[in-house]
Amino acid sequence: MEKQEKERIRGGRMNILEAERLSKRFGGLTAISGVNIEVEQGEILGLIGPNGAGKTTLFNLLSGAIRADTGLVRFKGQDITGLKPHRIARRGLARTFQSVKIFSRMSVIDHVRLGYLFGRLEAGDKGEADREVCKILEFVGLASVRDSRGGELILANQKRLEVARALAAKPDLLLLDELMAGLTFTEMTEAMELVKKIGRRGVTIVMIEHVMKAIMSICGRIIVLDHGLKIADGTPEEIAEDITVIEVYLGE
Amino acid sequence: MKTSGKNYGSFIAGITLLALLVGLPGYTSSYTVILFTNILMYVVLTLSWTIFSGPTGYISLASAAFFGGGVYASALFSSDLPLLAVVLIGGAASFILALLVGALTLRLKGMYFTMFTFGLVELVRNSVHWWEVNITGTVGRIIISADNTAIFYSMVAIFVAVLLGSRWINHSSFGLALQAIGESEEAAAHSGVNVTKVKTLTFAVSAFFMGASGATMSMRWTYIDPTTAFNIQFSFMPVLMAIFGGTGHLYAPIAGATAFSLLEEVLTTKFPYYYMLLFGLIMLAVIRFMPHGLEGVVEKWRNRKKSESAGVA
Repeated sequence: MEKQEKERIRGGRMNILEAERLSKRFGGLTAISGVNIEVEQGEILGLIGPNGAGKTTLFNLLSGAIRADTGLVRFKGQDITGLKPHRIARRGLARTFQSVKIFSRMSVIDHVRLGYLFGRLEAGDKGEADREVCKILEFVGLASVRDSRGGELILANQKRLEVARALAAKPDLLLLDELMAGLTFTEMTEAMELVKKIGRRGVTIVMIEHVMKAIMSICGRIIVLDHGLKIADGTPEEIAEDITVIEVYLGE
Repeated sequence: MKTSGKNYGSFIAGITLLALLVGLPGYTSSYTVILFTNILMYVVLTLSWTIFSGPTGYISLASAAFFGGGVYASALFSSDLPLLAVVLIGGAASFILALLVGALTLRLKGMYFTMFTFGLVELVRNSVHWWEVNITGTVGRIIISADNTAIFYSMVAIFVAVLLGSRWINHSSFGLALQAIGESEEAAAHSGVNVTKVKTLTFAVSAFFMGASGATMSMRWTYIDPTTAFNIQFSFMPVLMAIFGGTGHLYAPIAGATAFSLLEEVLTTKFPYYYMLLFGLIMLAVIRFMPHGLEGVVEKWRNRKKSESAGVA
């Protein structure tokens, strides 16, 4: 127990999430192969790699959407391997989806209400819920469309809505799956600001992203996946110079 | 303030209609009372069906299994127990059946779920039939009947209960979770909703009301066998009635079921030979010209009125 605790706290900072030797096969395809990942409390970690590298699969393994063949996941020091998604969500691990999964006929405010009511173990009274929900809508910039239905929003706002629903659960760790994809330049700049703002609130973030500019400017550390393997792990500067990464992205 | 005034108005209208309904045996013939019992049965089945299938979009054809479960529960206990107890037992039996079935099958999606629920009715009907042939040695049962007024009031009580139940679910966090599940189970689960539990429990609650109405109706039929109790018609009618009425508002399935069962009554008495044909033609016309059912027509009219009054102001 004491040894474990020591491993968890390195140089005064705690690992909020640890995945050890995670593997997942789909038939003959190895999607994730013996991946070890540590996420420090409070950091913004970028996850990059070519299409099919296993990034979303890794998110699915961490959030409980699919079960790993081998390996284990520890969140806030507790083993969460094999737990159902709703249990993991209630422990404080929230996520968004690569292809937005908003509720098209549900009002914006109800999305956030749902996240608030179900996303945490203990919900406050109704008045407190309403105040919190409004605060989150203000925070992500959706207060003016609170009564619109999810399906009526433009893509950039649907992505904000996914973030708002996830934030309503008061997560300690937020997994963002390609938040910038499909956004215009201006929308992307706004989305980057939002991610930084969430990070400043003390929420740890892991983000999958293809837009290198976003990754390089927001993330303190980057992990590179390729064919299910972790091939690099370092600061943006280190990654930019890493020879293997350049090979993977640009060819030999 | 405006909305509360409107709620007040519909509350008064609701209470008046309910009072008229409750007073029915006092001012009409027993034919009308029986007719309304029948209508209420379909209203209850359609409302119960809508509780689960409306928000989730899972098209269940299991209604006949739960209705029949109530019918048989009543057959077993109606000679020894009072009406209220029989109705509750009928509901509870179907509730438990739905919990078991739901836990096993609610991971099936779309057409697969629908096919399974259809198969379930056949499975239960044949199992009961097999039991009667091989174990008890008698097919069918005589039921100690209650008088028509008592049956009518039992149906009214179930109707009020299912109405209040639906209303409560629609306005609770439970209803919010159901709606989320209907749109994206994955997103609901990752937002902390225990998808399996919410689905199974709702399926069972809807089955409770179906079972209760089955237990009530069986006392009117006096003789039942597996074919009448688990008649697949009790599965199809609620779906058709919900399509006819709509599922987005509470009034929609009520209106759909009422209109449809009145139509059935008129057609079967006036045109006993062509009634199925006419029924089919009317259904086709409804789907062609009213794709959102009665509800679609009403909401369109409401929106027009709203925009008109906004234009005047």
